[in-house]
Amino acid sequence: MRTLILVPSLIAVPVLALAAIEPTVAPVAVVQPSALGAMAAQPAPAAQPAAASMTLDPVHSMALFRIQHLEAGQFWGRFNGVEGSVSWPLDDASAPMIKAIAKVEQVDTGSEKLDGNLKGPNFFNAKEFPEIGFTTTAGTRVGERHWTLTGDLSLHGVTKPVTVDCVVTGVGKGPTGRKVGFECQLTIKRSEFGMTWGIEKPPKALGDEVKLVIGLEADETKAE
Amino acid sequence: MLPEVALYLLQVLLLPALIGAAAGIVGVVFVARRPAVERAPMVRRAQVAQAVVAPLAFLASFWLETGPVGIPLAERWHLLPFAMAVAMVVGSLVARSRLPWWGQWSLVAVVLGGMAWKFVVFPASNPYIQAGLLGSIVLVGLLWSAVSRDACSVGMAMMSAIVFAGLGVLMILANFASLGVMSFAVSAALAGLGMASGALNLREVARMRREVEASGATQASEDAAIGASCPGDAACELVPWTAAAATSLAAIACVLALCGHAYNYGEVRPLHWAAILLSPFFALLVCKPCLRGAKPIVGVAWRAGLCLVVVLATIINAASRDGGSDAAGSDGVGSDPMMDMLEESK
Repeated sequence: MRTLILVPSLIAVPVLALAAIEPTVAPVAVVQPSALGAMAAQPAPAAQPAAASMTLDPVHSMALFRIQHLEAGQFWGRFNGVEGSVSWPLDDASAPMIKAIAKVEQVDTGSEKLDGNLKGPNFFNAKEFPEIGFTTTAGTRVGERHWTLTGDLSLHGVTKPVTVDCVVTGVGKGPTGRKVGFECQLTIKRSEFGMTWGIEKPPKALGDEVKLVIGLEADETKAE
Repeated sequence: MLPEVALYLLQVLLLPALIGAAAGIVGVVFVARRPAVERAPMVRRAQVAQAVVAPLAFLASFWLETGPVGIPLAERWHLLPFAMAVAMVVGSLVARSRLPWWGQWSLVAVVLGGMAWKFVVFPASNPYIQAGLLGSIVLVGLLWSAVSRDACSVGMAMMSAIVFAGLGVLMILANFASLGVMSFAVSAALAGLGMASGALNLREVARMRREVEASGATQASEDAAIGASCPGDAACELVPWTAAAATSLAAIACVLALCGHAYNYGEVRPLHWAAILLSPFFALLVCKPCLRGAKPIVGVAWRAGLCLVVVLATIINAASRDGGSDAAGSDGVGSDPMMDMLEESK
């Protein structure tokens, strides 16, 4: 009786373990022989691998901003814990569609007082506009794993189209699946988003141009 | 950089202050120039001018600092100029009426408090906060109008100038620099009005003394002496504050305090705003009989001094909390653009 229970258990454990492990190679599409004739008669469509759905890892995703202070140094700050999603087939077949959201409350300059100032209504006004968002609308390939993305940037209650230079920094393996890294850069004029404090009033306290460097790490989302 | 910073401060601080103060001073000067027998009708007009000093200074400062605002508003705090304009209109209309002080207070408090309760909504508000705004306008308006009845025009202007300067410092501590500058502009306008009123009142006292010495009338001499000790009840008080002007000023202060609280990213607590708003109440502790026989400057100094002590104590408390939370120490000063600017302009 004990053997009767043990044998199926010994078989079931490795079977279940194998089922739990995801294949590391992309699944090969199985084409039915009956369909081959019909496909051969038509021009071959461009291969469009299914885009992998990925979730941004907020621990390893951040947005850095750079602005000139008192016409002197370039000051850097960052938004921690950028969240969002990426849809990309993990090759250069199509552009990565990035949707990223930074919370203004997560601004970090290394100075608690300055963080409070940036969250206040003279700058980001976190009470009214708690999030900064970017959504990709289209992309153009400019090189290997190098894209120029266009999308909508929502900042300080204003949404405007922007162009982002985006490089895929690598595709690796994480504990839960594949991981993809992106580094995106863009420069904006904050006055265009209604953030004018410090440009003319007070005069030249802070620059108008803000450079953004966004480092993203996305984890492949497993299909349910 | 220094000339540009000086020009900026001149624009957003001194210019609005001069505009606001000039509006009030013109009224006092008109009254001062009239013969004593013709003054009564002019006093009422001058009291209207007093009611527009603070809102006018705020509007000018807002215009120069932030520029015009569109509708719908881009940010909720941009409704402040509209609130100030309403306070200016209601305050000046009621100030001109012949209502007794309690009538003026209740009318202005109910109208402005009701409008603020309904329309002045800042982020993270709720019905309790809105009800609190209405209640604070009624209560602070009552206290300020009582103070304006008891204290002379110079004392009232000085106390309210101290309150708005205190609110300005709290705004800076709450990381709302631009609203801090606007509060300072209001404070400067009220201080300018107070100084001009004081100078003209003193001139009037001197004129009365000369008349008394020339005529030798003992009764007039006693009146002048009482006037010197407590100008609020005396003929030398050219333009006493009305309850309407004082209540509309209190409503402006309450709305500014709530705005600063709503956007606060510092260590300023609701108690700090409340303490500064209620500081003129301490002036009531200095009663008229206590100061009878004293020189006018003594009465003003006692009342404004008590107000100043409360405001300074509150600011020191708020600032020390702020400093305690900043582990970076001196780093906090150098990293704040507003502080940098002020440091540089020294």
